[in-house]
Amino acid sequence: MNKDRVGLGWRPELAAGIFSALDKIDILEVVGDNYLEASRKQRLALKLLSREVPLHIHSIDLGMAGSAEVSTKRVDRLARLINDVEPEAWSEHLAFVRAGELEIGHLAAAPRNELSVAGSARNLKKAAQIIGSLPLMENIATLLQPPCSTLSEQRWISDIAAASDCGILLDLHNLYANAINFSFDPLQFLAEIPLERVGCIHIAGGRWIDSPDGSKQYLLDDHLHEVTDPIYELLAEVAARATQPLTVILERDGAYPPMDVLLHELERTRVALTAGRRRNPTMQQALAHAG
Amino acid sequence: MQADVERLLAQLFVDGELRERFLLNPTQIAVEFGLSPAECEAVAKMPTQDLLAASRSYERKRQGKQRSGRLAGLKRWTRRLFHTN
Repeated sequence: MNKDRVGLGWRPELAAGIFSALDKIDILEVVGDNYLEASRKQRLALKLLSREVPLHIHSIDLGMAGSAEVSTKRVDRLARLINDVEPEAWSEHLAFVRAGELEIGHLAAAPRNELSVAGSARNLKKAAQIIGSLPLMENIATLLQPPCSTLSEQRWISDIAAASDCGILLDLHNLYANAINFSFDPLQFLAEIPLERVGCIHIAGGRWIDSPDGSKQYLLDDHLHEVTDPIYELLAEVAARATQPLTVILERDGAYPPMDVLLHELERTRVALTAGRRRNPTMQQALAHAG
Repeated sequence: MQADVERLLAQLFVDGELRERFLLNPTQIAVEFGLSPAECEAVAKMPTQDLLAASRSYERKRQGKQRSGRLAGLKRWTRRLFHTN
């Protein structure tokens, strides 16, 4: 892989549109949790899909950043899927999703401190031993800054990546939403994470919601709306700073627009990448040598 | 302990009654969950609106999962009924 790639999250509702536009889609990302109980026939279909277009498996439910040891049974199930489908890479979230038997129902931000760095690294090592490869780990969006944190989010992510040697799945909408909701500079965040470890980027849309008493507004990462200008600007910024080829996945989880609209978003993604690369000193040097 | 903090957060996200009690007296609830004095102080400082907004968001996610779970069950049942796959 030596050039930037742009792709889409695989959703059954988008299947027909994706197949009709495979020449415009460089990569697909499949939510692994949706296929853990899949029949052999469905897994074979995914494997055949992975022969047509590079594929990533994206996992949601392992809870790698919790203090509890990641469940062997859950990792085993994911390992079987990954073994059957043979994706290019797999990914998970820097989040906890349960405490004991209590399921939160989605990704929750764990207290960011040395204990969760060590716990995450331990869980990543265990998952890698079972699955055979380390995942790319994604920064999550949160509406509540985790208490008992002693590290900034960027320091925490960097420390986990260093301790485990995992790559980073950089979700730009999660970063932007957190930056808006908790008033920090997303560019500073980008300056403080090891961009060379970014193996994949997510972009998505969201919406504004009110706090229950109406005193505050939050940007919610819901994957139900179009990607907005600030996200493309952040993507261009990453392309201007990173030296490795970038893979960008557009996430859309519902309220699906016509395929043309999604393809237009992919095109805007390519434009943002190109704009960033033009500002990238390394890329400029390479172009100068080539010219 | 970190695990106790996570257990309290998870419980606050899913249990509206506990959340109400916590908002009235956060330190007492934190002590009940076995948190250290420093952890008690940290969780007591969580902004109320952020906690409520996060809890509401998780509740909607759980409801969405339940709906899609029921739909998936109905689809499986229909497939079995008509022997399609």
